[in-house]
Amino acid sequence: MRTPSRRQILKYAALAGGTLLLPRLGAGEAAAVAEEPHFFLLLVLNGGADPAYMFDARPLAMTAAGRIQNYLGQEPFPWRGDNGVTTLASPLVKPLLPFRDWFSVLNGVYMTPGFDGHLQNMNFLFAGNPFGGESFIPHLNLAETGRAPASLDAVSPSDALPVNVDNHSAVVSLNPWAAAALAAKLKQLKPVQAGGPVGDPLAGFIRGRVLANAEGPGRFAAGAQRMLGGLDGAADVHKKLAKLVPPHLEAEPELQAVDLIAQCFRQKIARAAIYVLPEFFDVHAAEQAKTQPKLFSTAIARLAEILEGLDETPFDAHRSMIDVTTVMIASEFGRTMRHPEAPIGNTGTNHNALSNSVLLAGKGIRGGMVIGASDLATEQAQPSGAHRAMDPALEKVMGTPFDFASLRPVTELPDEFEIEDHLTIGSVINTIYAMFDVPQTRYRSLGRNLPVAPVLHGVLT
Amino acid sequence: MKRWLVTALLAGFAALTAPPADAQTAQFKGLAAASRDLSSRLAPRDKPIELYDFLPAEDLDALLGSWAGFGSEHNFRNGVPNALNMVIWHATLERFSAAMGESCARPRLAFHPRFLATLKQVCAWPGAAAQSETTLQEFWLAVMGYSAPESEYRAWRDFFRTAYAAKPPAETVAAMTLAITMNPHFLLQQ
Repeated sequence: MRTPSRRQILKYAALAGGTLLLPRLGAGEAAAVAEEPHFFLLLVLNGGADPAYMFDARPLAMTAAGRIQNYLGQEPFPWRGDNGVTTLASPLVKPLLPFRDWFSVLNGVYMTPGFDGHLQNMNFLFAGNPFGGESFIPHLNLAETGRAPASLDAVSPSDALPVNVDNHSAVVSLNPWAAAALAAKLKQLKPVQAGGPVGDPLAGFIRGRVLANAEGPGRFAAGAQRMLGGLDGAADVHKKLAKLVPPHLEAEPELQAVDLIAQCFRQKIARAAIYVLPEFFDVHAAEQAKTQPKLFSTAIARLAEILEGLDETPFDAHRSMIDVTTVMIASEFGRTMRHPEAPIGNTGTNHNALSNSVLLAGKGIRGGMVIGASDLATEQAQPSGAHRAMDPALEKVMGTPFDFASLRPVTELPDEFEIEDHLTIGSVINTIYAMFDVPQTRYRSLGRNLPVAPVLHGVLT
Repeated sequence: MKRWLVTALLAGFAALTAPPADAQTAQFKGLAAASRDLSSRLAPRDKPIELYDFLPAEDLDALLGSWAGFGSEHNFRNGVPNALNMVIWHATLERFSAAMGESCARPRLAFHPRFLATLKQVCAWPGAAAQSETTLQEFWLAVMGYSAPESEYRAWRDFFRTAYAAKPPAETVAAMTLAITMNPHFLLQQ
């Protein structure tokens, strides 16, 4: 656990004193939770954010040479990881400097081979399959992890994501204002009553009909089974939701979201949270691409606000939210360097699934490292034969081969692409699985008839 | 060998007891569709029933199942039942049902004449006419429609003839409505 900041100490002192200075409810209650608390927060940069505007930048000389657009026009600076690996960071990330020891940067992360669309790559991020399937988020809340499941798998205090997954029935959108209004009303309403011989006869009848329809095979019975599970958990969720305290309306939206997430985590309403930043990073047209400095500076300010909010929001009397929450910041893919036909000063960018950037922070993460890299780091850099085979026009940067033991990029230029030699999103998810004790039977493989994507043990504390 | 056998048996048992994948699960029809169904059976054409008005808070309708689009993709979201949307459905339908019960004294909603006549008969509860097969079936069909099997109707009828035999009409009508609208045949897509 990190040394608490001065403001944290003040807040904890206020909590210990039982004053109302600490506005968020439940921090004291959370202290009573016996098991080691561990939650997950996914922050999504929707639309395919260009890593070149964050932690995988390129020198301006490459722009001058016509290789990669850069509408900021400022030289990136070296971002040296504690593990000795250096990347170039855009000056736009400077608001994240106070948190540099909290998170590790993963560059050159390979997404889905052969699929270029937003939906397919978002599906791949969540489910490990471009067509969708089981999302990893609910897996973090399974009883088989050894923790008692929270009532919901995740809350999402932001717009819903375009993703086709078939197990998000307990991942629910819940914005702070709706949650507050719901809590206020639920305080006045009776929770769903338990049925049965000693309970309310009407509740017992309603439950009995749901139960009767849940028997047997078929979609309808399966739906009734879900209803039954929901009905049985409804009273507990009702009571927990009724305790939610409205967010401060004058607070920034991100802090309102952190506030709601903290309350949901403390009360075990949810194991995870998904927050989609409002910026949309899909910049195919030059006019859109030119807005990237503004787009990223706004988004990075939000990320800094969230990280600070997590640090300053107590989970209980001893820990802040960042002490109990693993944070992942990701987009569905990176972007190409430019359009081949457009002039370098007036070009948009397309999708690039060959190299993405992910940030990992918080509980269980060893911060301050730079892991992996993408190729074509300078205007003189030569692509590998594998890169030429996969991207003949050389529009994209591509994740370099990767040494999983040292977590360092490998400088050799292979002629053929071997996915086992690359850092993939499967490894990132499996590392999160390892942290949450998800059984290895659920680990993602590198592909059909290929081994499981290696866990990045070096990034775990 | 024995360990493998036990593992295989446990895996088989887990597969049998695992909750069904969402893709093979009937989802809620959504608040808009439920409102439309009730309106077509209970309300005059120009004054539809809006269940949105009975939500415990604004902007929660999307959590009960609704269509969302992204590019050319259109998906039905939040339709799979969970504890949270059951809380919201229950709170919403309890308030709607209370309005139905209160309508025994003075209509709280705009009803079309045929349903108003049925409601008037049920509101004579626990009188014999209110408990008659004809009256109860008319009320059931008006609220539920024809999507539920007759066994559901019989279970509902028998429950109210016994458990609510001596209850006042407003409470009974509210409970009857809640029992129908919380039934999977009313809430789920079929």
